[in-house]
Formats: sequence, C-alpha cells, structure tokens
Amino acid sequence: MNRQSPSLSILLYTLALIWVLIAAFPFVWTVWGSFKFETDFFGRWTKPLTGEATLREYGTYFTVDGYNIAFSLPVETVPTLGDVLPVVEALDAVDRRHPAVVPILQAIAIGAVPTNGEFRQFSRWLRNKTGLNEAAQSFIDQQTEDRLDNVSGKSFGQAVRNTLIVTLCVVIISLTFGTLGGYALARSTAKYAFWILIIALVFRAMPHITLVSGYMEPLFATRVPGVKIFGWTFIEEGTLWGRTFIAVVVLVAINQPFTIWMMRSFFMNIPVELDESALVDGCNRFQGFWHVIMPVMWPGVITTGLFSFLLAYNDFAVTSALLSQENTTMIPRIAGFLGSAQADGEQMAAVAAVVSATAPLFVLIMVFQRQLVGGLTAGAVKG
Amino acid sequence: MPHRTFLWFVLPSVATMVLFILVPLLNVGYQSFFSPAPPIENVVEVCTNNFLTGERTCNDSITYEDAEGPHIFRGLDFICGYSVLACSEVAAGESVWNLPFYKALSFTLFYSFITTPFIIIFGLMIASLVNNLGRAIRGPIIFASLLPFIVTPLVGSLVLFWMTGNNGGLLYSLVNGLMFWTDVDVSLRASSTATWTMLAVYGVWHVTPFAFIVFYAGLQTVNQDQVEAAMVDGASRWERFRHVIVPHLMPLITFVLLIHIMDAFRVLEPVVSFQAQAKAQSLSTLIYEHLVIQQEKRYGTAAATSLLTIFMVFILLLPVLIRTWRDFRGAAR
Repeated sequence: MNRQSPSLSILLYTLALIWVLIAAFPFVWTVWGSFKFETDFFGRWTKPLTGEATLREYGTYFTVDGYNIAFSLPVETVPTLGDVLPVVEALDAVDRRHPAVVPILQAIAIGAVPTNGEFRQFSRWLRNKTGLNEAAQSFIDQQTEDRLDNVSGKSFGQAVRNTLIVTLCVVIISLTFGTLGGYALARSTAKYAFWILIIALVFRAMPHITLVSGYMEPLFATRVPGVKIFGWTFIEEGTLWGRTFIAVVVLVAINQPFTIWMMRSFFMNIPVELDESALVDGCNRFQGFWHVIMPVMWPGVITTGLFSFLLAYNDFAVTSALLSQENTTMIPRIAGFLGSAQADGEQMAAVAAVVSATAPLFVLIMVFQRQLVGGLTAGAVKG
Repeated sequence: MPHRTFLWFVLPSVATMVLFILVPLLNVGYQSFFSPAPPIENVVEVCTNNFLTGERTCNDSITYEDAEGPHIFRGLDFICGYSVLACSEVAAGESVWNLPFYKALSFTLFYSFITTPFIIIFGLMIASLVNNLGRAIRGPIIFASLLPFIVTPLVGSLVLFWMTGNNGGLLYSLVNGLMFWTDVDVSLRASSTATWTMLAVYGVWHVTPFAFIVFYAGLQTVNQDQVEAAMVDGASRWERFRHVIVPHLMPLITFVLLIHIMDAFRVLEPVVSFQAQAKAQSLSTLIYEHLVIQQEKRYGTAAATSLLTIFMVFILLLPVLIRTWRDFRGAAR
C-alpha cells in the first residue's frame, strides 16, 4: 500500500479534498452568510461573496444584525402605523421611491398595517440616512428601546438557557442510571440480563415520535396543584404538559437503551479479577464498584456522556412536542423561526440561530474528536 | 453476580425504561382503540349590537366541556380512518398513493432503502481513501467528516436546504452548471421528484461519515499478512479490496446497515427543514402533524399511525432478533 505512484497520490489527495469540501463547506458557507443581509444570503450564490446588498443596507460588508434580532427582538413588538406616518410624510419624493419605503407606502395606501419585516427594513434604512428630522429620530429611538425592553422575551437567549438546563440534567441522570445498569449487565451471566439487552435494543429502534404520541394525552389530562414555598413558585399549577422536567425524564428514558449498551461494552473491557480482588478485600459490591471500578471507567463515562449530550442537544421530536413556548429549547425554537421568519423578514435571525446552535458542536468535535471516534467504533453508537 | 445485587444495580435504568418507554408504547396501543368520551357541546346564542348602525346580529357560540366518564371503545375507527389505513377508501378502489398514510409509508421506505447502498459504498470508498493518505492529514479529514453526522439533523438539513434556492443558490447553480448540455432549468425545490431526491441526498450526506468512521476503524485491524499473501498471488488492488478487505469488514457493514435503517425509518427533521410536507411526508412527520401542528390534536389517529409504525419497525428488526436469539442459544449450549 505504500508504493503509490505520484499520479495516484495526486488523485487520492484530490478526492480527499473533494470529500472534505462536501462534508464541511455547507457549514462554512452558512457561517459566512450569517453576517450578510438576507437578499445576499438567500440570493444568487455570488451575492454573499460580493456582499453588495449588505453594503447598501448597512454600509459595511459584514453585519451582526441577524444575531441581534435572534437574541433580542421578540416577534411581538410591532410599531404602530401612527409611529411611522409622520416619518413617511416628512420624506421627500426621491426617498419615497426607496425599496425600504415603498412597502410601507403601499400598506398605508390600502389601509393595511405593514408587516414586522417591513417596519424593520424601514427603520434600518432610516438609521443609515443622514439629516433626519425629529419624528424620524424618535421613531428610531422607540424601535431601539423596544428591542432593549424585550431582551428576556421569547428570544433565542432564553432557548439557549433552557437547552443548557435540559442537556445538563439529561447527561447527569442518564450517566448515573446507565453506569449502574451497564455494570450489572456486563457482570451478570444470567439469562434475564440477555433479555434486558435485547428488549433495550427493540426500544432503541422505536421512532421517538411514536413514544411522544403515547405521552401527549396523559400529560394534557393530568393537572397538578401549585406548590409555593416562601412565596416562590416551586411547582406551577396546570397540566403536566410543557414542563422542563417532563422533557428531561423522557429524554433520559429514550437515552437509556443506548447508554446501558455502551456502558456495558466499556465495562466488559475491565477484567473481572479487579472486582474479585475488591470483594476479597472486604468491599461489598457497591463499594467495589465505586472505589475500584469507577476510577478506571472515566474514559468510558466521558465517551458515553458525549453521546448522551448529543442526543439531548440534537433532539427535535420530544422537545418540540412536549415543551411549552417559554420552556422551549434551541432546536424547536429554530423550527419555530422557519414558519414565521419568512413573513416577518427575520430570515437572518434563523440563520444566526442555526450558526449559534452549531458553534458548541464545532468546539465539542474539536476537543473530543478522539472520544467521539472511539465511541462510534465501539460498535455502540446509536445502538 | 447475585440476583438481588443485580436487581438493585439495574433498577433505576429498567424502571425508567418500563415507565417511560414501555408504558407509553402500551398507551399507544390503548389510544388506537379507545378515546375519552367526546366533550359536551354547550351552544349559547350570543348577540351583539353594531354600535354604528344599531343592527343586532346573533350567532351560536359553541363551547366544549370535558366529559367525565370511562373511555369509549372505538373499534377500528382510528386504524381504518382516512388518515391511517383508509379502509373504506381502499375498498372503494381509490388509489392508495393518494392517501396520506400510504404516501408517508412509501416515502419512508424509499428514504430508508435508497440511501443505504450509497452510504455503504461511499463509506467504504472514503475509508479506503483516507487509509491511503499520510497520517498527519487524517485527523483534519476526520474532523471535517464528523460535521454532517454530529451536527443536529434539523440544523444540518437547513444548511443544505438554504443552498438550494431557485434564484441562483449555490447547489442549484452547481447542479445546473453540471447539466450544461441541456437548457432545462432543474429546480431543486419545485417538484416531488426533486424534493425526494434532495431529502435522499441529505440522508446520504448525513450518514456517510458514520459509515466511513466505522469502516476506517475496521481497516486498521485488517490482517496485513493476508493482504501481502494476496499481493504475492498477484491480486490487483481491486481484487485485494474485493476478496480480503470487504469480507473482513462484513460484520461492520451489517452493523451500519442495521443502525442506518433503524434511524432512517424515523426520519423527521429533514422534512420539517425542507418544508416539504406537501410533497414528501414520512411516517414520523405524519404523526408529528397530528400531534403538534394541528390545533385539534388527533390523539387517536396519531396513536393508530404510531402503532402501525412500531409494528413495521418490529418486522424490520425481526431477522436481527432471530439471529441474536440463535447465537445466544448456540452459546448457551
């Protein structure tokens, strides 16, 4: 295999380059495009490279406006027609023909309210315009204030926090349960241990959404009373649906089959003699497990933890169906952008959200590449 | 390990799986045949005066109240309903390919089986390619390769979808550029065929890295003596690949096949990302629609669809289960 002719080498390296481009280029392209104006990103492929629309809109080639919209401005803040009318009236004939102004004028002409996106485009255009009158200035101030007021609304920042809570809980609980179960399954030779593993494999194959359809009705039907401790709402009154801990529990359960299989395969590599020596030294099973086995198991725990994290982080079916609007995590929130973004001119918010959700995974792969590959090839990944 | 100790160790894990996987699955079965008593309809006449003209208009306003009482046995209402097996429509001779469930089933099967050979072949090709490159460059290639597989499916499919725009998106231009000999404008979004193809392309792009990594690891354990023996016998590169390496990788190929079909059968996110529900519905998106998108949740229909899906997953798994069972019995003897 080492005797490659130069021409073969060149061919091989070219093919490898093509594969790397196919695998990674779409992500590079999206990251680049997320700093552009939407007519650039969604337009002809040369546009994100030249950035002409971005330059026209913002006066620079790169903008973080998509990120600003995603992380601060909720969909609900709509300026009224009354706010914008005096500004439009003050514009001269030339300005009134600008693409950012025309939709507003058209809306006014037919007695409709301009859309959120039209307002935003208009106020962005105003901000770049010099020599504004007082009405325009106050309109812009108003828009900026609205943005700041609503930072803690249903913005993407909230979804990021929710994702953090959900994934952290899922990883910790999955690993605790999975380590105990995986250890016992690796050490038992009984028939029932085999059956548990086979049934877990069948559970592993179930489409997540079919499980969700088994949950929805009972969750909506069960009401829980509110619990307050020192005036702080510990449990909110209402149905069980939409609560963070329900999604955590469901994700832990979905995670279990895979976790015990993977943990078991790691425990199988640890010699039984280690257990036996601990037992001889007077440990009971659990003490032996905790003081002797666990210290050598950390690589396995880290690898399994990575895949538990990925399952919780990447989940769409469970979180989008079982979490309420304010508890929702990043991925369902991105899906939510898709529906409303087009109408609201917030497409760049969706792109920015997508890039923000991918960034942690980039870092994860960089730091843990070895463990990820090890986990995939342990024959246990996703199974 | 003593039975009691075993029990305590597996209890948290098994209890979680029983309570939150087995019970919901049983509930899916129950909900396919039983539904809560229909809500009680309260009809109230609501009248309003138009404050300009003084005209009085009255409308019936209906409010619903949850009915108490036992669940009602619905027989085959749900399973034979229009959105599921559509028994009466099929009996009446309507083409099954226009009915939602059968359309979803055909797409799901298409997606699962059309992507499989590509994933295996591309995975093998890339694995042997990377195995023949210098060591220093393998790490970065593996890093790039992991991206499509590790990144959230909803996000990965969106990233691809955004490149397919008809107004000169990158992938669109690339495809049309490659088809320079015709003047036909190939849209990647307009037709059902285009949508199905793009979803399959996403599927291959997403899972090929997984096959690659697994096969690449397998290649590291190939017996070099065998390869050299084959070389001495005058086997060409291709013959060595075909007769030494592929047989060595066979168990891994089966493994990738199994995992991929399991995962492909629940395809959901790419259809959502591609906003393709009108052209390509999968079984999962069909259930998702009944449960999440619809204002009036259709639990019965969703449960019936889920029941049939679970049944089909079971059938797909059956050969694997039988083989494992035989191996286990063989090992026990």
